[in-house]
Amino acid sequence: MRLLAFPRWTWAVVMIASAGLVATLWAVDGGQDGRSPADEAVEVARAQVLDLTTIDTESFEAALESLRARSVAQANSKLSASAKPFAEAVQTSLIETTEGRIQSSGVVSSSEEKAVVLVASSAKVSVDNAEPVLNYYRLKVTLAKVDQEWKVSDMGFVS
Amino acid sequence: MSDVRWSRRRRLRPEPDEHPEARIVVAPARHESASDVTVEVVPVKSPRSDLLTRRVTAFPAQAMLLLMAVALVGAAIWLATEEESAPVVSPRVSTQVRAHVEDLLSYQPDTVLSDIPAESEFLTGDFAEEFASQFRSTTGPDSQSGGISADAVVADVGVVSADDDEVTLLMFVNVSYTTTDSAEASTRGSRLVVDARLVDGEWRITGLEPV
Repeated sequence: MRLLAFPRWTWAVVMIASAGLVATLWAVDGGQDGRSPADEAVEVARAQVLDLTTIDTESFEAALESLRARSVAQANSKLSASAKPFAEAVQTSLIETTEGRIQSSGVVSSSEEKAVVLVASSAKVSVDNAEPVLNYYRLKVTLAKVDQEWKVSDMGFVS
Repeated sequence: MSDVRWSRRRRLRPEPDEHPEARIVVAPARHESASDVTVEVVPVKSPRSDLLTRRVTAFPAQAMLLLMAVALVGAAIWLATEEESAPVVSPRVSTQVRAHVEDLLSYQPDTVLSDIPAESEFLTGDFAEEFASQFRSTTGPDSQSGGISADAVVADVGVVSADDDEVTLLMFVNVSYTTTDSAEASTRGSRLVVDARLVDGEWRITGLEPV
């Protein structure tokens, strides 16, 4: 019963502190969704790999645009060069990619400004309506933080 | 009491500046008629002194509430400033697990079965028995009959998840196979998700799955 006899300011302090805690929890949870900066880099890397390994005749232009949007400016020229064989292939053959999937991903290294991520993916590829072939891919993606956003600075298949 | 006029009472009311801790008592004087009254000013506990008293008596509970408030604010600040850390794995962990995987997947026809007990030291849980069973029933006999040797090299390692005593790694592994019939090796690349656990200070593999 003694608790009820507190001065009003005491309750006010508790209520303000509680509201502050709730607001902070909401901000932390909503802002980062409980994820680390490396998780955000992994998410970008996975999206980039999925777009790259599922390029086909129909989606080529849109996929290339997405790949460029996720890359740092310096990587775009390299990306264009890498995409050239794809561009030629999709113009000369009907390439259809289906069932693109990411099987796993792991962080090789990460800091505030840079992350290196491994991604394992697969996709079924059909050329000129031939029987689709299931391909497995192993990629290493290097990302850099640019204006608070993770951008791909390098990406390559692991041999 | 009824003879006491309100004006008189008001006149005798102490000024707040003079006696802040006083009140007026109006009562019949002893041995006098009921109409004779005395008016006196007696000190009383002011609201301020009352607050002081309450402060003293309610201190433990108030202190508890204040501590709660401080704890809540502290938790809020900690949560706001804490940054989720990326899964951190020491080089020793990935080096140790990587070496175990290379040892497990590398074998020679003449030692493939005799190496099983030593290699089982790298393993723990159900996977230890699964691995031994697989090598005794399939890999070992195939290696001996076909003269197959395997040389595994981990090309890259990434951390899928990690905590103090458990880790999950994504490994890109290249295994070169040779046979006694052919000097030319065939290399196969694989993607393995490897689970490991810290047991008695050593990292031991609890699962190894191709993805």
